[in-house]
Amino acid sequence: MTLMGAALALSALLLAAAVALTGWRMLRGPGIADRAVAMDLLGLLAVGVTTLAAVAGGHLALLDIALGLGLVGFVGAVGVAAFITRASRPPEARDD
Amino acid sequence: MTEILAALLLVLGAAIALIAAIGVARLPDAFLRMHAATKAGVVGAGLMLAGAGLAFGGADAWLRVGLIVLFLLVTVPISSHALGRAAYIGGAPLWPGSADALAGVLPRQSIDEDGGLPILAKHAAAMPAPAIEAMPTPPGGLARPASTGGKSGTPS
Repeated sequence: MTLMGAALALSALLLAAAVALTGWRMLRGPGIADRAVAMDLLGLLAVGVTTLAAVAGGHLALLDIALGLGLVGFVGAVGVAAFITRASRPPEARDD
Repeated sequence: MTEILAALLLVLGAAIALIAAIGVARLPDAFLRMHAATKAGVVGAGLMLAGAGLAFGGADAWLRVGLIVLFLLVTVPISSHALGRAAYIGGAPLWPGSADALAGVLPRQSIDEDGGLPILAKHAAAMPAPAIEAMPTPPGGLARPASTGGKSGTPS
């Protein structure tokens, strides 16, 4: 059991570093596309963190939350992409 | 044995997620960052989910794990394709070492050199203009082909 505890601690450390790097890119990134890419990766990292919490706490229901987080991240990324595409069309080609 | 394998998969998945984050932080433009984030991110999350399935071990856990991995494999290519297409159309700058293979295929907005939020700035600048034809077009801007309908811009 101590092996699994050590693996969970190491995984949490690695994921914390990953979230810190991605958050830095999200704050820094020059342009909305870089921030949208960082948000997409943050969604995937949230799935990983929730999976880790499910294993650490022994709650199987947290895997359902991971599924929901993946769904929300997908919808958010597609929404931001549609916004960028629509906002960067020239005004004479805009039909909405 | 199962526990060792589960621990190994969890650590390996977290390490690959960290590699994806390093790629997002270090690569030079938005398209290369998207390339790093989606592929390595999906592999990292998938390996962590497989480790969780091994750690729980029941059929209900494996059902959830398979469902999430299948969902990620279906949706992440869609969202990354949409993000990359939007970044190209929105005029995100390309790294000088990569060729612009989509020139003339997709319309591409030219952006200002100061970074910032060029899309929103241009959008706001276009809003209070009652006479659009009076606006001067930027010198290299709005490089749109004659046919805006996607792939039909290639010369025959």
